[in-house]
Amino acid sequence: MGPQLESGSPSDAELAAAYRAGDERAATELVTRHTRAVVRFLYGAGASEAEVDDLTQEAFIKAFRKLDSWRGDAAFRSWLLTIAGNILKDEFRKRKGRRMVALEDRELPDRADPHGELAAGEAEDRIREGLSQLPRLQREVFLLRVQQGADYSEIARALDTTPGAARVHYHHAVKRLKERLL
Amino acid sequence: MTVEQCNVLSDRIPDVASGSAQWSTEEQDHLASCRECALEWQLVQRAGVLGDRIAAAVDPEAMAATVVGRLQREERVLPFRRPGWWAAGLVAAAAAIVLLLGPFGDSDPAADPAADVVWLVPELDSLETTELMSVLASFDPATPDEVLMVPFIDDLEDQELEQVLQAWEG
Repeated sequence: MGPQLESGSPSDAELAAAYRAGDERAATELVTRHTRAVVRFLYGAGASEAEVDDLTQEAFIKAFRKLDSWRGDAAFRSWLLTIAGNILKDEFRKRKGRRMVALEDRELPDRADPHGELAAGEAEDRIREGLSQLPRLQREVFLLRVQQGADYSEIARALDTTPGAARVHYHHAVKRLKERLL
Repeated sequence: MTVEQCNVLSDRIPDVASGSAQWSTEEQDHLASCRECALEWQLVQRAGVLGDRIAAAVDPEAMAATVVGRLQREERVLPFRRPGWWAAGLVAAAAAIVLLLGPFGDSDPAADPAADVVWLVPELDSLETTELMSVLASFDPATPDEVLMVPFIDDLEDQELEQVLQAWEG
């Protein structure tokens, strides 16, 4: 009998082991735990709001199919996000290289600072557009660092590179994105 | 303000933006006076919350139910996609063919004389006596020696020949 899910807050590694042993509650817990991170990552990387749900689902399915390949070197979430990145790359390829960053429909601002909200929305669009045009490694390193708060060692393990290279990718990404905000 | 200060700050911006670190007084002073660092700070803060609105609208439990449901369906279907199942399927199909068509090498007419007789019976009238004898013998292949012991017409005595002819002609 393999490891089963115990009470408390099991780690991702414990949940993965429990799922491998046939405990479906572990899969439920892993998906519940990481869904929002995957959604944010995919949206930041260029997925449209309309497709982000399906892509998130695909990322989890693919992750569970190849769960045996996760050795625990990188954090489960970082590993999962690289899978999501692969799925998005395939999606971009299906569109024959067109990276579509849809400018999301925004409701008219009705708050105290309508101009500020609009400006924030425009800045978000510019950042997303800029991210979608970065080389993949730069984009993923930037998002892992900024959205997930991963350090360079963790990013390097997830993306199969070195911490030094990850740091260089990050700073290249920042430089190019700053040019878009100016 | 030096490039070195900018580099240090640049490395720390994501940590401070995520709340896992805080600015020192010196860093705050630098941020207030350096346009490049201020822009980077703004960039990282905004990028850090990209997709928060959409993520908040997603129901993680519903997503989990969908994903687990798909995994369960795959679990029921996937075994038949595995190579072992294909091999087993081929073996089963081959066995079924053998059972339906009979074992290989069973095409020897002597092994199933009745089948040959069915085809030969309509042509009995045109057979020569010796051929007819062979056909008769094939009705019971277990006793070929007995058939061979039946005398040929050429070997019959006149009296015996007449009896046979009378029997044939009525």
